[in-house]
Amino acid sequence: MMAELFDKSFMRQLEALDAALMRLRGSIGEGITLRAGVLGQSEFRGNRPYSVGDDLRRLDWNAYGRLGRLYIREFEPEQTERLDILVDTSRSMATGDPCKHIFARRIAAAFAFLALKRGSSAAIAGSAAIEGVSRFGAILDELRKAEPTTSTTLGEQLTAIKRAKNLVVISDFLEDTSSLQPLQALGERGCSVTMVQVLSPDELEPSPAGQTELHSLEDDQSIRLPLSPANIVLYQRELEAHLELLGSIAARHRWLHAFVESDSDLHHLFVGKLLQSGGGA
Amino acid sequence: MSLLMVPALALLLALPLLAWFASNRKSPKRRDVGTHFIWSRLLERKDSAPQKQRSLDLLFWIIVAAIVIGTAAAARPAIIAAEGTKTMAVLVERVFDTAPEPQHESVVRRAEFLGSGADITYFVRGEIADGPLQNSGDVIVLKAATNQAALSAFMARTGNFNGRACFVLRKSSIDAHQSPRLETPLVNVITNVIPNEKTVQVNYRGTVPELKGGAVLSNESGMLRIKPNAPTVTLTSGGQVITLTKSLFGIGTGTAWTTRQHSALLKALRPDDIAPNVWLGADKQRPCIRILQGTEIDVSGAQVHMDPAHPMFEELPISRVDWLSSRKLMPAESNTIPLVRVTRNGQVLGDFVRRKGDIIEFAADPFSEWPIELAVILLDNSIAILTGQHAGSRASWEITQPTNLPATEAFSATLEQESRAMSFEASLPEVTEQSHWLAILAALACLYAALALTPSEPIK
Repeated sequence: MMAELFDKSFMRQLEALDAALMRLRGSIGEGITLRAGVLGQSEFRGNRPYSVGDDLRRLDWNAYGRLGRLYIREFEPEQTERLDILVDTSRSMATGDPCKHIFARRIAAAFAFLALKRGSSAAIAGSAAIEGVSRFGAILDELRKAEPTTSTTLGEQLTAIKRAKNLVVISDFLEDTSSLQPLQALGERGCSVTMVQVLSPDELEPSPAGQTELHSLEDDQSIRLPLSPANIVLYQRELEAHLELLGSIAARHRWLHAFVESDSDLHHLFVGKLLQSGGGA
Repeated sequence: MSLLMVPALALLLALPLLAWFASNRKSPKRRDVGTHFIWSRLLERKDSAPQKQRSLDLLFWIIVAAIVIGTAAAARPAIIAAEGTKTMAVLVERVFDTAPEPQHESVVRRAEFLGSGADITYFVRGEIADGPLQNSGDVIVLKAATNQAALSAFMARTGNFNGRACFVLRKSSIDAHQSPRLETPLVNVITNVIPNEKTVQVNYRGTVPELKGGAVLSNESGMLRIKPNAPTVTLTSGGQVITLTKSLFGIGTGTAWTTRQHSALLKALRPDDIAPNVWLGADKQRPCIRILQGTEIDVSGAQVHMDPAHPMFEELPISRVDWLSSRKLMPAESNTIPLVRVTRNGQVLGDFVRRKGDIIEFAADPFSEWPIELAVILLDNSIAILTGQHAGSRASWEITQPTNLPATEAFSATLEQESRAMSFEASLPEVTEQSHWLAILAALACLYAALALTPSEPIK
């Protein structure tokens, strides 16, 4: 399984995602601003005529459409920013079909890859920061080791982060919202926070069953509940209320909150959700 | 403790089946979830699921208990009194307070014969001196003013005895009432014969009695209902032979009732294809309906007097009756009771119907002259006055041999010739069933199970 976590296919996805974000940046408009800390983007400075050898991905096709000439988009010199990424390694992330933690680690890898591509440094929480795309492999190594086997809660993992400028937290956030208090403290110190909430489809819509022993991987406890349609509806209402609460907390603190299912893809997350949310920020 | 219905224990076969169901009952399916964070909120809203699981487990055992208890109840467990613990209550009464001191030794002898081996308690009315009763058993003095009150008190206080007997002491004899419970059970015996209007009920133990001269209408629970089809019927069971004969009662008329109307009257009274049970004989027969040749008189302006409430006129449409149609009356006599008297201007002209002891006399023959529907009522009423029973309700058959059936004869034979024995049931059965308590318990368990299985609202 681990060999497949970041395989060649995944690397191609990252390249495609990077290219897509670049295209979107050019086509949607120069005025778009993404969170530099999140996506490692730099400020747009202007266009200049294309010359052989320029990066074809920076061609401004909109300008070509308007003017009939090729122009290259130029950006401000990138500033070295650090992106801290926390992947929740509590055992609750080990569930789901597809597994939440696999997708969470791929999301983390994508964040790190995009940050490195844009000249920023990236660090998996608890590890040293990595600079340069050439060292992206070190990030992947860290992520490979980040198995969801710890007994620490998300709150405890957040408490361990004392300083961060840009922080991405990838978790299912199925904890009491009091666990987010460390994030509030970081935000008050100027930290830009992005919450990526990963839930599996079977968590969103559990299949009905009879009397069921629900075994929690997090605390190794079991409870018995009849998974009747009525109880599933109640569960979904409770889950929806929790998601709304998280969203309201994030909005109040100007955190970016994106929800994604574990069977989704990176493009959907970054382009469909984060880019949209970031554009509005 | 005994089981009266052992086959009911077959119901216990349901228990292994239940055990099999229980062992194969689907355990809750395990499902791994990341956390109980959301699920626990459901439990917090209504912590019913674990309770429900517990209640389901409890329900299973309650159903098992209901089956076990119900099976035990179906087996009719009973407490059977040991042979040596029989008790007998004996009431000693004096018919006349002026009678000499009862012959207690004779009472003791008979009581001990009846309740052989039983603990005997004597109940007497009024104080008695120490004597044989105290030596034979306990003596309880009933403070009752009369024998009737003493009998009531005795019956009230002795309901839990296995047997009861009552000795009525006369000057020279003892009447005894005895309980059949203390007798030695007889096998293959006819215990009672009850003639009804057209059928005869025969109570028996053991094998069905052999019947001659009748047909069996029904036979269930030791009770045979037969319809005699011959003047004499014989029932045989074991060595016992009981003979039933047609119950006839004679009415002397003095004349032969051979006319068509007379025959119709008799047939209307007792339609019977065996033999008429109204025997019409000479006027020497008693009781007697006597048709006289009355004196013909002038009845113009005469008034008829009678008591319409008298049994003679029961159901008789008096307004339709012309008592004076024959114009014949009997001269009034002082030693007779006039039932239909005729007067004119306050002067007695004579009687049309009168009673003289067990004779009813008519001044003319209304049974051949009246319309038959009136004549039959008059004749039936006349017979009822004379015999105490309407012809239509009189039992057709009677036991002619023997006069006493074994159930009572067994004891009466030990008494004097003029003694009379009667039997009655002891109120406490020897066998005390316990099934009702168990049935109530099983029913309560089933009720609880039914309530627990009633669908409830989902967790809200």
